[in-house]
Amino acid sequence: MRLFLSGARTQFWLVRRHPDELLTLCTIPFTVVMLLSIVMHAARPDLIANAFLAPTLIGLWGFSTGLAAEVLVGERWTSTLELGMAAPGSLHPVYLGRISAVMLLGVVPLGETWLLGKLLFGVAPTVHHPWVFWAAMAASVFAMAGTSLLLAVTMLLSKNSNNYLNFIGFPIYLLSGVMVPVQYLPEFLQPLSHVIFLSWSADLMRDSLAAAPVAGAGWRLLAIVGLGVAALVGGRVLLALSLRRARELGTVTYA
Amino acid sequence: MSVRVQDLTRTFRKGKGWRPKGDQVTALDGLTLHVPEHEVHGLLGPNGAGKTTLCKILSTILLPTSGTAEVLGHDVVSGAAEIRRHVGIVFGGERGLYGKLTARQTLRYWAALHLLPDARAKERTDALLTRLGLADKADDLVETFSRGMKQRVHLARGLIGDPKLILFDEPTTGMDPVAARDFRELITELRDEGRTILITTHDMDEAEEVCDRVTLIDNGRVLATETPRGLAEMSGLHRWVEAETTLDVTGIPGVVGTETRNGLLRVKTTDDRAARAVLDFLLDNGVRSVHAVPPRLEDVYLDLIGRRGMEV
Repeated sequence: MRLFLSGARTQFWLVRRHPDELLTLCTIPFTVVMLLSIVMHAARPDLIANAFLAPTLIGLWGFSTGLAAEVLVGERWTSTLELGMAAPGSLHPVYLGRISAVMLLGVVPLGETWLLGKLLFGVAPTVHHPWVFWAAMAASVFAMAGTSLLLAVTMLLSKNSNNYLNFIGFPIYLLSGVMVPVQYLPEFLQPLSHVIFLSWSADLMRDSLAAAPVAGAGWRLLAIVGLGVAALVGGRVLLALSLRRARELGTVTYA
Repeated sequence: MSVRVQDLTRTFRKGKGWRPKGDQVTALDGLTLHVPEHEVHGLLGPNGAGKTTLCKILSTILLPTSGTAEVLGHDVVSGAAEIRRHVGIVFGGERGLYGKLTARQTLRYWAALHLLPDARAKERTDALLTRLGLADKADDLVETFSRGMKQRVHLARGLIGDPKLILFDEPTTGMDPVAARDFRELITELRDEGRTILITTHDMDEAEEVCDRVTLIDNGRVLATETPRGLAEMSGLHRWVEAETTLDVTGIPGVVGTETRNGLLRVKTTDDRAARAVLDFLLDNGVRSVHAVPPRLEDVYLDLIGRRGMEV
């Protein structure tokens, strides 16, 4: 736990002095204005919740791919990865701590979206089931941390992985139902969304904003957490394999 | 014995993919090396000789291809976890530092990775910052430091776990002469504290000054291991005579060549007898500022490694 907390603390120290890494927060207003403009112009108050959730979850994903997934690659560039490999402490909790710190920042877009909606359009969705909403948010942050670890390790495996990471953003937005609810997607795509935790997050959070009772909240939360755990375990195993491979091949640094 | 390396080989494969299948490059080729406790041992050799690869294997960053390597009695493969508790690594230059952390934050981070409890981490951080003259700058960002100060952060980081063996990989790269002198004093202090030090360097004067013994490595093989002085004496290299004179000594038997630098005549001779003859000739002719010079470590290095210039 100490290693995890040390990693988180270090990441906060680093981010504080890298304000440019918070650029994701600057992209949120554009998404908010675009989506709320459409909804308001179309006079569809029933879609306000969707317009609020999309920037929130896109922001969470943005922090994951834009900052958290870069942690290990950055370590490799600065040669701190090899120093870490020679240290007695396990690297996995340290990097997970750093990634989790980033994902906590990923909650900021939620407040930003609500604030902008209120200030610019005078609207904000009512959260009818706040416990479900916040539980879903917490589970999503956890799952995103696990997913980010997996992405971060994947980034280590290829020098061009940044291109792939940039590419998968939009498919993820689509398949997760962040922009458009999954049930409106072509049927053959819908099964794919079940393995993306964001689709469960988006659906559950959307339901928590509606007045109707939320059906199966516990199971749906479990699905989010379960997919997060799967990613976390996958990331942990892949990290161990990657470091072992780096030790064997001598690819710890880019030099 | 702090380091015991036997027939160590390390090869790399060029190419891409999970298992590259390109040409094989040999970095270490059956290298054998023994470093006793409390010794300052220099690893000398040209770029690509295998010095850094050896350090990385000893610090468990790399796995050996074949042969054995033991550090403090533990095998680098099966006993890696134990080795990491007792080995510190110090790089030269900018690599390995977080520019956006302060010196104190850097040490706190690495203290955690060396599994120091919080109270001990704080205590050790303060002690090292003071010892290395960084206490006044402890809360400044590392990126604002001079090269010499960054090197001190490296040193502090390498010492945070109170290691028994410290691996220095070209530690004085880019240091100014004053910082380099301070560094050499620190090396002596660390040895006196009972630590073993393995240092890779291109600086022959530094090696001559701080190392108890040196190993010359080339193409992944050991060429020689000796004390700097012993290496020079056993090399059978030319003896030099230096004198402040303009006399012509080229006719003396055994004189191989002469050169003049800033009014100082340097005479290269084949052996001690020829050097004696030159000394006698100069003294007989009234030259008073004259002395014989044994071959320096740099001369031995150049003789054994070869004058490759930029070649690696």
